[in-house]
Amino acid sequence: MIAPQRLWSGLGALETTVAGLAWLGGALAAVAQGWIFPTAALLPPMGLLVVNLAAAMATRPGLRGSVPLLLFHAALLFFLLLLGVSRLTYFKGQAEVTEGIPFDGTVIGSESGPWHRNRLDRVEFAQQGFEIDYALGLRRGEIRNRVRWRDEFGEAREGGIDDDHPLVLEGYRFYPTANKGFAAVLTWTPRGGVPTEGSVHLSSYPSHAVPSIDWTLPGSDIPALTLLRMADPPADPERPFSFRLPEKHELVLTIGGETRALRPGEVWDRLEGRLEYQRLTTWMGYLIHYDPAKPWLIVAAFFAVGCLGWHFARRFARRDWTEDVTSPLPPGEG
Amino acid sequence: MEFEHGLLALASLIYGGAGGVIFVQARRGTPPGWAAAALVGGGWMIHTLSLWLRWGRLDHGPFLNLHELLSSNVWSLVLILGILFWRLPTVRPAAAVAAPIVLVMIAWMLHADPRDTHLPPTYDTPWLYLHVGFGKVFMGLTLAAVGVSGVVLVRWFAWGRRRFATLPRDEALDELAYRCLAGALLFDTLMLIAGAVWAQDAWGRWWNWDPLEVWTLMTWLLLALTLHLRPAFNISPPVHAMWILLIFTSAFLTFFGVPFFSTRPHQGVV
Repeated sequence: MIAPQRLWSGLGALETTVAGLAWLGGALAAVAQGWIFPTAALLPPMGLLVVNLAAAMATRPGLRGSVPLLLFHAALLFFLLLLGVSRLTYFKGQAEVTEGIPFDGTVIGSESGPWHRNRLDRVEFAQQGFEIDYALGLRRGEIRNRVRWRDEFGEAREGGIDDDHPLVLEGYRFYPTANKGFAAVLTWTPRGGVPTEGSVHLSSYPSHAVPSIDWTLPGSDIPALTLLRMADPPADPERPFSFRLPEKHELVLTIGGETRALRPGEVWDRLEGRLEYQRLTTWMGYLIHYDPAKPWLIVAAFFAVGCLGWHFARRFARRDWTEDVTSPLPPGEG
Repeated sequence: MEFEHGLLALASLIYGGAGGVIFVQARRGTPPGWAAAALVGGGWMIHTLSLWLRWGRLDHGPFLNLHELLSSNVWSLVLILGILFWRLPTVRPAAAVAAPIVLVMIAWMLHADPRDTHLPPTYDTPWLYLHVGFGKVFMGLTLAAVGVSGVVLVRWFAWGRRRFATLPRDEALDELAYRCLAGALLFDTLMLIAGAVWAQDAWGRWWNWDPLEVWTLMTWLLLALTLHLRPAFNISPPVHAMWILLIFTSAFLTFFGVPFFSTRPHQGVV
C-alpha cells in the first residue's frame, strides 16, 4: 500500500501535470473531431489537474518558495473550480419576442447546468421595436433595439440595447440577434369558442426574401402555411436600406388546400372558425445567457496572468538576456 | 488597383530582398548587417503606410479576411523579430531560420484576395483590438522561439554547424527560446481572455467550442505542456526545439488554417 504522503507527493509531481495536460490535449482533440461531448471528455483530465494543483501547492517546496508562482497556481486552481461551478449553474437559450407583447418566459431551445434554477418566469420585459441599417449587399449594421422592463425594485424602465449591450434581468443577459423579422398578429375564433389573439413569427428577414412559416391553428391540428407578399419589400441587395414594415402587403394563408390573401383587418370565415388578420409587426430573436461564475472567472484569469508575468519577470531578471544567456560559443564547441 | 496594394507589393519586394541578403550572409557564416536591417526597416515602413491607408479607407483594422490577416501578421512578425534581433545581436544569424516562414506568408499574402471587407457590428469593440494585439505578440514570440531553437536543429547537420558556429551554444539558445515561449504563454492567455470577453458581448457566450476556439486552446495546452516538460524531464535542446516547432505549427494552422477551412469559425457566428 502506498503511504498517503507518497501518494500526495506523486499526485503533485510535475510528471502528473504533464500527464494531465497531455490527457486534456487528447480529450480536446476528440472534442474537436466531434467524437465526444466537451463536458464528458474534459471533466476527468481537469479533475486530475485540480488534484495535481492542490497536491503540488501542498507538497512542492519549489512552488511554495515562490510567492508569485504559488499565487499563480492558486488562481489556476480557483479558475478550474469556477469552471466547474459555471458548468453546473449556466443557462443558454433563445427566445423570440413580438413587439408590444411581454416576454412570458418561453424559450425556444435551451440548455443548462444541473444546478440551474430557472427564474425566467420572474423576468418582465416587452419588445418595443428595433432599427437596423443595412449597407450594400445586405450587410447588417448595428441593432438598435428598444425595450421596456421592470427593474429589481419593481419600477418600469425603458431604454435601448444593441449587439454588445444586453438587457440584464435576474442575472440573465438578453442579447438581440440578427435573427428577427415580421410577425403577423391574428385572432382565431373557433366555432362556438372564444377568440384567441396571438402572433405568428415569419421566417427571419432579410435572410429570407419571402418570409413564411408553417404553423397550426390554435386548439386544432389544422396546418396553416403563411407567407408575406410585399408590394414594396424594404430589403434591396443593390442599395443601402433600413429595416421597416412594408407599406403595402398581403398575408397569404393556405389552410386545408385553400389559399386566401388577407390585408390587415380582413377576415377569413372557415368551417372550423374565423381567422382575422389584425396587423403586421416585428419580432426579435434573443440569445439568453446566464453564468454567475463569469465575473469571477475573468478576475481569476487576469490575476493568474499577472502572477505568472511576475514570476517570469523575477526569474528572467536573475540572468541578463544579452550577456549570460546568449554568451558566445567557447572555442572548439562549435 | 488601390495605391495601398502597390505599396504592399513594393514592401513585399523589399522584404524579399532582405531575405536574400540574410540567406547570403548566413551562407557566409556572418550575421545580418546594416544592409539587411535597412531593407527590413524600409520594407516595414512602406508596409505600415499601406496598412494605414487601407485602415483609413475601410475604417477598420486589417483582420477580417485572409489577405488582411496575413498582411497584419507579417507586419507584426517583422516588427517583433526586428526588435528581438536588434536587442540581441549575438543571435542575429537566427534570422535566417525565421525568415523563410515570413517569406512564405508574404508570398501567400500576395496571392490572397485583397477585396474590401465590411466590419460586422459584433466586431466593433475595443476587446477585439486587444484580442488581436495580444495574438500578434504571441505569434511573434513563438516565431522568435522557432528562429532561436531552430538553430539548434539546423546544427545537427555539418553545414548547419558551419553556418551558425558564431551563435551561442545550444543550452543558451534553448534558454532564450524558453523565455520567448514563456512570453508567448502570457500573451496567448491574454488573447484567450480578451477573446472570451469580446465573445460574451458579441455573441452572448464567452466560449462556444467553435473550431478556432478549440484549436487556440489546444495551442495553449501545448505551450503549457512544453513549459512543464522542460523541468519535469530535463529534455535536451533539440527535443525542446521540436516541441517549439509543434507549438508554432499548431498556432500557425489555428491562425491561418482554421478560419478558412472550417465552416464554423468565428465568422460563422457573426
